[in-house]
Amino acid sequence: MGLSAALEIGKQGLRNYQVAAEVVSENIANVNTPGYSRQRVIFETAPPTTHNGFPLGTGVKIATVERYYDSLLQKQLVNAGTTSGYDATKSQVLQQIEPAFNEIAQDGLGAALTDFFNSWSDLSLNPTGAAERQAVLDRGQILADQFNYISRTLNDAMVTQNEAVPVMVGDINRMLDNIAQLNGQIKVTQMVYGNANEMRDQRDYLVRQLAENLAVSFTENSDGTTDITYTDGTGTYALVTGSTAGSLSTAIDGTLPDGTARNVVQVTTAAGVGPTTVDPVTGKLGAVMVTRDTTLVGYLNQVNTLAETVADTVNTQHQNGFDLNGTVGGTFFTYTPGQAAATISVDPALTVTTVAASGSAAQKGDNANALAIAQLAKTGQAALAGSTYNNYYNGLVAQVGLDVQSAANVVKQDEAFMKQLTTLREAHSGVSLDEELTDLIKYQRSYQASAKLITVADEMLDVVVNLMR
Amino acid sequence: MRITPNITSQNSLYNLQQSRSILDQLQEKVASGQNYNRPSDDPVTARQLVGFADQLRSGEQYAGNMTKATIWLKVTNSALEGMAATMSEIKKLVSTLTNGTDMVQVRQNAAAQLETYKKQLVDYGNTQLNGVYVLAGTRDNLTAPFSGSTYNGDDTDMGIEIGSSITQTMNITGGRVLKGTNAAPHQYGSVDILTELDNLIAAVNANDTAAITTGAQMMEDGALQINAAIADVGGRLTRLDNMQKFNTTTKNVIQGVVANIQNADYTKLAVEIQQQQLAYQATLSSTAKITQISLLDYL
Repeated sequence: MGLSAALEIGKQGLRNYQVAAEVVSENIANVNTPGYSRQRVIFETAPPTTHNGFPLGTGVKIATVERYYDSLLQKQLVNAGTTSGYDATKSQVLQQIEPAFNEIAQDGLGAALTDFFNSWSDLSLNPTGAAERQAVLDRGQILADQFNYISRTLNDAMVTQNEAVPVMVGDINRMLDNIAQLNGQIKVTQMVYGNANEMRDQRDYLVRQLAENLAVSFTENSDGTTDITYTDGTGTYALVTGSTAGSLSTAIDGTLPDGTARNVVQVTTAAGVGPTTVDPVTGKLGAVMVTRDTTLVGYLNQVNTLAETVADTVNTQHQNGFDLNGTVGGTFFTYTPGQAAATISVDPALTVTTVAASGSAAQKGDNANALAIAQLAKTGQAALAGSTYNNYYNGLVAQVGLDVQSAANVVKQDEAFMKQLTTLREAHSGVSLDEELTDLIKYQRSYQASAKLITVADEMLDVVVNLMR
Repeated sequence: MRITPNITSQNSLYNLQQSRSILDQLQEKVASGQNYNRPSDDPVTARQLVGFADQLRSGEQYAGNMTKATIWLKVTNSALEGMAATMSEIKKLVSTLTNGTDMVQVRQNAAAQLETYKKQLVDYGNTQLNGVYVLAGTRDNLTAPFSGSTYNGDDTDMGIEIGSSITQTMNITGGRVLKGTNAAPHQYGSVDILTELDNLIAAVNANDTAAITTGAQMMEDGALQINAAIADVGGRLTRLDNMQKFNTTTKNVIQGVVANIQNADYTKLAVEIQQQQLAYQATLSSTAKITQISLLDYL
């Protein structure tokens, strides 16, 4: 081992610290890149050689460029992302429909119900009054309009959720393709160069994004690839295996309450099995399907029941009465069964004269029937489990309020949890500029020292060369 | 723990958001003057509030019904009072005739006067309120019920709602007052005042003292019959008045409860906003300070 060895060590130092500075610059450049994990150069001593009976090192060598990555944290982030995606979407949908049930801030269906029956009470005081009769018809139409409005709000929300399904499916497919593609690149890169830190970061970030949309589980393979599987009540499906991606697709299954074709999700696995219809109940996609098929339908059913009961009970009582001509009363409300709230309307055949206020054919000035209809409002209805119309509706208002409130609370907790997890991830994998700058100065000094080493070795060589002159 | 600039900025953003959303909620309460602005603010309270709102709306309806019924009954009352006054005039006149008189002129005068009184009774019987004949019953209250001594109305009651499941009969029928229909539930008497008056006029014309005496007795009974009807109307008016008072008290109580729940306490809100504003400003200031620090400044 001679002076050339010292030169060699200096040269290695220069090269290695240059790489180290490059890694630092990569870190600094990506300080704001989502999903980026900081990298660190791991130095190790180059293999020693024995010289003059002494084992002496041959300088420094870069063992690897390491990525700070915690697979447990990644798993937790994936799971928390799924929960938070589901809760946030559900909460958003519920908050959109809450205004339709906001009886506190403005008069809605509840007020319309009371006003309608109050107009019958008014009519009972003046059964032959044209103004009172017109008021009954008008109030009836306002009540019908309120039912129509709430039904439309709920149906619109359902259709919006339904339309979101193909969009989300497209989004998910794009992610699956990208993950599979990155898997392939990572595998090749690892075989040739060793590590593929940036691509792993990108892929892991994609997995986290995917998890927000759909509950997936992932397995990290020894060749650097990550396999993705999806599990729900219908089975387990491999969505990504190595560099092959499966896909999601939509199909039509039945209709929504307003007649729109209902989208369902199908899975074709990475192995090409399928498409099989699945039933997502987690992640954003799950939230969209669950709110569409359960939550909103639940509300709509209650509103339909109420509309049907109001129409049926008022019709029955109205048909017990007699109009100004002494003719027996007809139907007051008309509606299409099954879609009562959407289609309820005051019977177009009904006029001021044919409103049946009287309880007797011979007595057009009688108010018995008007009074009986007015009193329906205070009567518990068997079809509403013994509640009055207003109590039933108020219960629904409270239920919507409770659902919105609990969804919002859960979202708040999710946010706090996600923040905690991202903070943990940042603490482990995030880039600290202060730290990078310190490293940069450290490597700069080391670079300078290596350069000095070369200068010194050069001067020593110079001495040796001059000796021989 | 390693703290990176991203952690600091994320935390700052999160804290600013939290602080800002509390400020926002407080501002909403101040702007609306209400503690609860949507069902999800507090579903249980919201359930109570919408229930109270229903109760208040029904209460207003009952109050309106009672006001209208009171007007109806007062009109009825003045008609009945008029009848009563006419009846005492008739009684006074008849008392001078019970012994009969040979003077044709006197008898004719008396008979003519009785005819006028009868017309007056019929006019009272045809009293109208907003185009509706109040004493006509329910068969056809848009046509005058009395013509001559015939009553074309009926004796059906018209109940109205004055409380939750509480009804009150509003009308008095001409048949019960002037024609002696004495069916339950409102029994005033069974004197057919108009026909008896016709008989009395005939008796006066014929100078039939026995018949005049009977007629005089009938008029006495008729006056009592009308007084009974007046007493009934008075009773109903009192009941309506009591119910109206009860209704108002209930309304006040409910409004008080609603105000307690719903009205924003501005003093408390002002203090809370002050506190929250301070916290928000402090967060802003510390965020601005911390995010500026970097090793770069010292290199």
